[in-house]
Amino acid sequence: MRVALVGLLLGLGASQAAAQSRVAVLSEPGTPVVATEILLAVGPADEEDDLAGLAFLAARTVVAPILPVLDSLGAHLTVTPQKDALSFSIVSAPDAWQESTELLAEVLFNDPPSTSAMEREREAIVRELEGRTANPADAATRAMDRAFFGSSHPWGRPTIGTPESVRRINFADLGEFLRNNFTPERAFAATSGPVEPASATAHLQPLLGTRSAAPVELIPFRPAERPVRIEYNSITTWVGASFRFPETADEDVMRFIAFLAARELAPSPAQRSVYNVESEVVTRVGGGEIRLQVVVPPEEAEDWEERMTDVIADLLATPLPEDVYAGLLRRFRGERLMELASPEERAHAAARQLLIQGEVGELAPSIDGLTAQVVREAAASLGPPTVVVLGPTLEN
Amino acid sequence: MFLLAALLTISAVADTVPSPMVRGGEVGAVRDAAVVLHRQPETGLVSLRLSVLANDPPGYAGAGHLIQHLLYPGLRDRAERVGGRLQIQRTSDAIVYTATGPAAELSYLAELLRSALRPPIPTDDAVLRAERELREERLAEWETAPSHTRSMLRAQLFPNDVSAAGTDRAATRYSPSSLPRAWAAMYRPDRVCVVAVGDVYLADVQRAFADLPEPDPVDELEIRRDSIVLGALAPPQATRAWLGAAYLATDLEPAAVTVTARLLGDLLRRRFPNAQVDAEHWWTHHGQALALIMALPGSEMDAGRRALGTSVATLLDDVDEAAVAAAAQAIRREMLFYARTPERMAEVIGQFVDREGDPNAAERFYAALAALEVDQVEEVLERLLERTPARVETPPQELQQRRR
Repeated sequence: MRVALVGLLLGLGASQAAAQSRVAVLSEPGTPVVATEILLAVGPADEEDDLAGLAFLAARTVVAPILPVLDSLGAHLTVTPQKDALSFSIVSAPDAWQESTELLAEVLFNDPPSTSAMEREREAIVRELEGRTANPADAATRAMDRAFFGSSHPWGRPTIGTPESVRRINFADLGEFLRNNFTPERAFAATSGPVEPASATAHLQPLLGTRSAAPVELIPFRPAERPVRIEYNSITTWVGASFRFPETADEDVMRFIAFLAARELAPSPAQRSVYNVESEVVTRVGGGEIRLQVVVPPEEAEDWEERMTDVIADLLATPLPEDVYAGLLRRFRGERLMELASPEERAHAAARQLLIQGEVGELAPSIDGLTAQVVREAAASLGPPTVVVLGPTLEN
Repeated sequence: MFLLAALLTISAVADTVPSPMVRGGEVGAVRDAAVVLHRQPETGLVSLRLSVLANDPPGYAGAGHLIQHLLYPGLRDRAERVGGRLQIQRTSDAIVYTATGPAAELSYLAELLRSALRPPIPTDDAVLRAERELREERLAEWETAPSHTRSMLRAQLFPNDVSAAGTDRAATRYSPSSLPRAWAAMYRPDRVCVVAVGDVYLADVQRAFADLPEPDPVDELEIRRDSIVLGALAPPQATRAWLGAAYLATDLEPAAVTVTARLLGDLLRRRFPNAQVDAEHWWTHHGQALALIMALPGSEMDAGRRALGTSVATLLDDVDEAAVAAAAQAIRREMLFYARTPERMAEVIGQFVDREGDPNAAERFYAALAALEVDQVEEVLERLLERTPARVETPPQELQQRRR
């Protein structure tokens, strides 16, 4: 994959420009559309405690007026909130991508917000949040965020707020938030598709301006050290475990460990009571986490709490035969490639790398160095997990 | 086929961007089978779409899809061993298997697909299981209003295009002994088409499919025709009124039919903002049709029926160059968006190749959309006006009021 990286000139010196690139272009002649991700390093850490959800509401409000125009261009825009950034993913035909991305940049960084758009989006988000209140999967995610980051940490709050906090947001809050945070120097852009690197870069650079990237800082947090048990009115129990890893960790190794752990926890003849298993690897500035979750019968909650705590240690305790290990590695590589099958996923992965590492490496998983020894050492370096159990108690 | 029809009708300036539809496309052959390659070196993936152009043998409607159901679990598990995905599809034109996975696994995925061409050797249990799955598909087709409406319209326009799920009568003939004979009647290497999209070269794809299985000798099958029962079925479940009208359009320019369908859909949506309107271009080797399907509140059923009947004439009065250009461009962009993964690109290219036998058919259609003029759409509308459409109506079901 040809990757063109552009370090924006700072006006302070070329060495600083090289230190932080904000634009990446993946030139893919065989791809029929152009996907661009603008990642704005804005999130809950920029919100007041009682205005949780302001970042997402601001994002939805500013893009609302251009949705009909994008529709007429055949462009598809998706806004996704993350803990550390807002993701604006836009997929367009090659003859419309420049116009689409210009429109997006204009509303992100220049156009004043509309009161009516804010009111409509606020109402829509409140309705979505209210509809999800009774969803145990959402509740489990919120509980894990709180336990992993701490209830007073901005990332411990629900990423898109609560119905109450979103209702509290007024137009003045939103305007001020936009002025302070929706600025080009906090944005990173990655494009994948049939574009020439030089011309695509020349198009994207002016949209993000010429200032240096604003530093992305991690507010320190301390994960809960003891299991967190939460009473919840459901017929199943959700047991989650989150393992923190440092910024220096190899992402592919972490993904493979998560893949192996999820297989260990998956339904099988030996553990027929597992209803569902999910695994996720999240990378962020300052490190990341492997998050695992199982859905099990309430009467097995205690066993699974222990099982989740020990799942990585169990992996280390039982080395796999070489052929089995090779087979799993082969499957892992394929699944990871399939996750990157669409240009918008590749643009997203590239933009995340820009945000975290300041450069884009190979997106496809590199499995050559993933020996059993490397994986064992990486797994052993993971600390004890934060464990959350959410469900009915036996008494109930 | 409905998938592509939907794609073509879901939703402009002639642009100067070279057509990205099958840019870098290559065409070859292996033995008698056609091989089409669209290179996408950036993804590290390959999607291999293998199609066998065949109708089910007379009297054995659904046999091709039943064999797919028999093979699917094994093929799926084999694809998953390399992190890949296997899909089956029975279109009106072909029996289709698509395997997508790492490009480095080209040989493995090709072998998996080649194995699907060997005669099935099923057990009684397996046949019964697959037949049950097919029966569920048949029931779903008749029970729900959207698919029921389409099936009824299709049966009127293309009586030979029997549902992929077959018929109840044909199902009684599926057995471990009849299925290999049915397969022998369908499979020949010269009916095979392979579309490869991804990080591979044509020579490698040709090598990977060099050993296509030899066809078995074709035994005489006792049955010579399918019998289909129409009209004696229970009404489908519907909470709104469902109206359908479909016109035969086999002799008309496909790109113009697609754009006409889109414009008719837009017209009806403007007229009935609360209705669900689908305007579709059906296009298989059986022919082409333009289908308009609406779901609307029962109180608007009469108005909907009238609008459906007059929509072609109304559009003919109003259509202009700008609307045609905008619709054509929107469809082109939707095609690109839909085909943005190797799997989807293989599907789009493959459906065009299956239908027309031309490896460049998708590209030609894409170019025809760009060059389309208002006269061509007007001609389609005029021809449709001369024809009597197939019609289907399903009123909303109402609870019977209890007698006092």
